[in-house]
Amino acid sequence: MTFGRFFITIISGAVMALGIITGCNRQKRDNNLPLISQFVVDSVYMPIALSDHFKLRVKEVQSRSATDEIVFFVKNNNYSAYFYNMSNSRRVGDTFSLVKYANEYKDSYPLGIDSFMVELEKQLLVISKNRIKKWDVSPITRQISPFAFVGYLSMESMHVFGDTVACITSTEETQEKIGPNAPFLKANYDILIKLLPDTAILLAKHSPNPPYFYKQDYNCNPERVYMNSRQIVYCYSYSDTLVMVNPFNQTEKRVRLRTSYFSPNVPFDYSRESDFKYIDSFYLEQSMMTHLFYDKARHRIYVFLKHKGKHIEESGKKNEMEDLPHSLFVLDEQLHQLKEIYIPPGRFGPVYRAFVTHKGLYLPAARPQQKNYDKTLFYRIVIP
Amino acid sequence: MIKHFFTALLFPSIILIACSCKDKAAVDVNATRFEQLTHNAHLEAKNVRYLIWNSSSCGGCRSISVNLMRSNKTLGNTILIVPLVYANQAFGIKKDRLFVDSSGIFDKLYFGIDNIGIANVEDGKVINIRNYNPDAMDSLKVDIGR
Repeated sequence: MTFGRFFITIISGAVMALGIITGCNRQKRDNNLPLISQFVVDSVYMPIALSDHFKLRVKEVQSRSATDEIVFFVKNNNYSAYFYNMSNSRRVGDTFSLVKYANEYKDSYPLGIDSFMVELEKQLLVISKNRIKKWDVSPITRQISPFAFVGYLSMESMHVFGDTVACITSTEETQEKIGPNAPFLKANYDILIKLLPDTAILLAKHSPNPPYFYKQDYNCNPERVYMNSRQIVYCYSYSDTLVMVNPFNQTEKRVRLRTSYFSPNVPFDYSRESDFKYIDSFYLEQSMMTHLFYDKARHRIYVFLKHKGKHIEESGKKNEMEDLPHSLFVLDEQLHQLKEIYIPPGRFGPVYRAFVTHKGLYLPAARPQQKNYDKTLFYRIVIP
Repeated sequence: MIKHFFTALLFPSIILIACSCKDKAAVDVNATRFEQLTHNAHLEAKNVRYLIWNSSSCGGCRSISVNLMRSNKTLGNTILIVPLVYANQAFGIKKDRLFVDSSGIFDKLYFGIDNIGIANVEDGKVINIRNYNPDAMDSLKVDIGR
């Protein structure tokens, strides 16, 4: 009897301890990882209000001078395109208004310090001081796939390599239903378009959505970087595997990240897709690959992983993505993992505002450090 | 053996489960937090109804609720709380019925509003707080007209 009592007490203690451990959502920090603060070398202000957004990414203009650091961005609030020299904190050239394209605007890419390409739903434009040249790409997007009922270009980051444009197609959903819409997903392609003087032709296409998306992970996003016109690297929200694809011959290289902070996701419950608390918790309480950047100057790829954490703390504090710790993975161009760097919670602002130039990776400072209404503080990070 | 099973495993489990059943307590906690936030924001009207957006409120829901405020003259005791990022969508609302949360006060603490919501205050006390997700806009229209 005494042994039985002792045994049950031990078992019950173990059950309760297990409950407490599994109930604790936050992972402990791996002290072997270097801290991001070791790699911060500088800070700069960008002339954009904290309450505004850049449309998608800030992109560096390829400059002839190594000291110049000219970036190009479009402001969310007024659809104005700016060239800005970060070396001397001055605007370069004219500001271009894209307001008249607001309804069909997708993305832009700088071609020099006075011209840029604009991606609209069905057109590509090259805009320079006195001239606008147009290419109609709807013949390509309409026929990209039998699943694309109304194909158009998608609001994802585009890239231009000489006369070749890398961008993404999307399509209208064609049916009302709850859950993953396989035709919708199957119609999303990364495409490479060659611009000829009067027409645009399709060079290659690749559908980035893996089969498991069709069943459960409609809410996942593939992030991608175009390393050149033949290599695209993808990361997926709930996968620790990066994929490098050549869209011309569909060859793939898959590399799994080494980390203790990634854990497989729980599939999205589509019966609760109107429940905002559930949706926020879904994104915040699981580990999630968030953003991918390519540092062409250093031949590096940067991948951000948000660690799992709590959406709402016991105190009632509502966490956002930047309130949770992240990992920054540094990989070479063959996807060899070189480093995992720990980013403590609340150290930086939202990663979607980050950008890369030949001088480093820029991450916005956390909101409490942003003291100016009309400009945003960024930290420059250089990882050797 | 069975007695020890009850004392060592089952009773603690029941206590744990009971502690997790805290709906009533959660309502009080939300009300207390909301009172704290209105105090921080210097919104200290005694009898008022707040219509509250947050930075992740859905676009359609914001549109429906602001149109209700614009069109319904009887909503004189309702104050719309909007985060700075959506301040420009609240055009046409009189200044005394609008609070632009430029410091993000109402986004810092969770007080039961996930999408958009209504908090009723009587005699300076929060009577109830109700959240409306996108599929509950019909209920919002009914409740806000009351």
